[in-house]
Amino acid sequence: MTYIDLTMPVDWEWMPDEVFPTATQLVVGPPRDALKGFTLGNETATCLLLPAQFAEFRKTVRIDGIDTASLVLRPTRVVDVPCEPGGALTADSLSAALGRSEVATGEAILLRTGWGDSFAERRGSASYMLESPYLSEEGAELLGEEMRRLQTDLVLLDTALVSRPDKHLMSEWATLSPRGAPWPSETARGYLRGYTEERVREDWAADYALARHGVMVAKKLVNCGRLPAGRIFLIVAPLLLVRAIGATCRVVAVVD
Amino acid sequence: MRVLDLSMPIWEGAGYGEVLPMPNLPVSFTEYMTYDWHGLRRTQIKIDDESGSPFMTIWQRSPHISDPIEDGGIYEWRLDEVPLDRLIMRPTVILDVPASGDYALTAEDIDRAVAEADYQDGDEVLLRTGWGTRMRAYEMGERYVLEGPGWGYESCIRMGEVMRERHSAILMTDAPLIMTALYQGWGWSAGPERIVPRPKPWPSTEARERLLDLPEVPATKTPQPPRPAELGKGGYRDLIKSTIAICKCLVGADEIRSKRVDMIMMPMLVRRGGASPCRFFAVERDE
Repeated sequence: MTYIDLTMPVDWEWMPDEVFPTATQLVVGPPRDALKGFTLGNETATCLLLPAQFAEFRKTVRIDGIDTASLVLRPTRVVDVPCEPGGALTADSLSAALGRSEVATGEAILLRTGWGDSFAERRGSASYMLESPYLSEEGAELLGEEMRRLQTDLVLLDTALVSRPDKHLMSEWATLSPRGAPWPSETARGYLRGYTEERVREDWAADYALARHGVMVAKKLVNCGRLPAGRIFLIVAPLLLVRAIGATCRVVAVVD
Repeated sequence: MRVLDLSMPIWEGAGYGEVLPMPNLPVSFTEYMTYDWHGLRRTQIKIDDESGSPFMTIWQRSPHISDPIEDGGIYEWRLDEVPLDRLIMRPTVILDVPASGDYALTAEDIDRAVAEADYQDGDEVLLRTGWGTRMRAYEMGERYVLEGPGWGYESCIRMGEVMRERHSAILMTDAPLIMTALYQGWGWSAGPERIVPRPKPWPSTEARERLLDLPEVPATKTPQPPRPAELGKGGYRDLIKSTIAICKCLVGADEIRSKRVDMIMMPMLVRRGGASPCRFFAVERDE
């Protein structure tokens, strides 16, 4: 049996999600310091996000309510969807990839673009987030429908993004120079005051499409290039936060 | 085959960080994106490296301190260095020491539990008192830690000896503390000299003030208040030298029916980290 760690570590020197004001700054505080411990967000490092992150689905399952069988030794199909930096996983590309992969009923789906293998060389750079492949809204809708047909609820991505938030966040924040710090900076607080539900929905349309289909999403997986094609088993271990909508998550593949 | 989740959840009001003076801090959540304004929820999460059910290595002060907390450890791995085959599907013996209240485990308890167990060479160890249940933790809050069983000094020493003899490397327990609440909380939250009402935990001004009253110690050590001799010593630092990690505060072990399980231990992966909250899953084979 081979175990492969697909987890981006919590790294006090750099966390890529802090490009956006919707992220919170990671702090790993020293002993005997006021900041002692870990300060992190729902999307720090490799993370699992649930449909309940959206108001419309807030009455669905939370992190501490996920059935253990969904997370431990979960049968998973590796689906290769090659994609250029900054490119979209469209309905056509996802349809073709899923068609090649013969996903069985109930299997989680791990979409492998190759992006996560560039994580180490992009450490410290905003490019890991800003040039990440992403799902188009139509692609997410197709994926969600297919997952509903397959009676499965978990997709894992080696991309940094599900949606590319290019309606607002990219132009209004992420590409500014200098760029503001994430929450709880004053600039992030100011931005989020104006980042209302309508703008959120426009930016995170693909995330919302998957949520509408009841799909849990793990993203920012790394080392997926080491996985074989076909079927594997996964251990998906989010921090057990009571009634949380997402959490930093350890993901390990178990390969025969 | 069935899989049991033995992980202590993490929530505001969880007892551990509330009752030990420093430098352990409580859990806090701050919502900064909300359903009613953003249609999307995001939370800032502040936790200790010992929140929930933690996986604690001898490098507990890492990445900020480059030395282990004790010299002479037989394992040298930080969190991100522990080989995955030492964490996944590890054969684990269940040692039973039924205990409740403020009972302190003894060396005799360890020996008796080992004699009754199906303990095979190379097993990891899950010592079960029966105290650790999720509902008890939710309902008791900070009292869960203060009123629960702990490990007396001699039990820590004896457990370390046994683990070395049997080539066991990871110790798990459903006790809320290694050592005892009376020892660890002395002069703060436990004992006749406890402060009433209890001060706020770290990093409150009162918790920081307490540091000023304690003898200075090296960065790898924890400042200690003076304690009466009859309280004895704490055994954690002796025990950690025999292990890859010590893991406490597991819950739900009372649901294990077998004498042995395969454990999956998934600590939060921290670059050069020394300790972090961990998910624990017991895989129980069909008999």
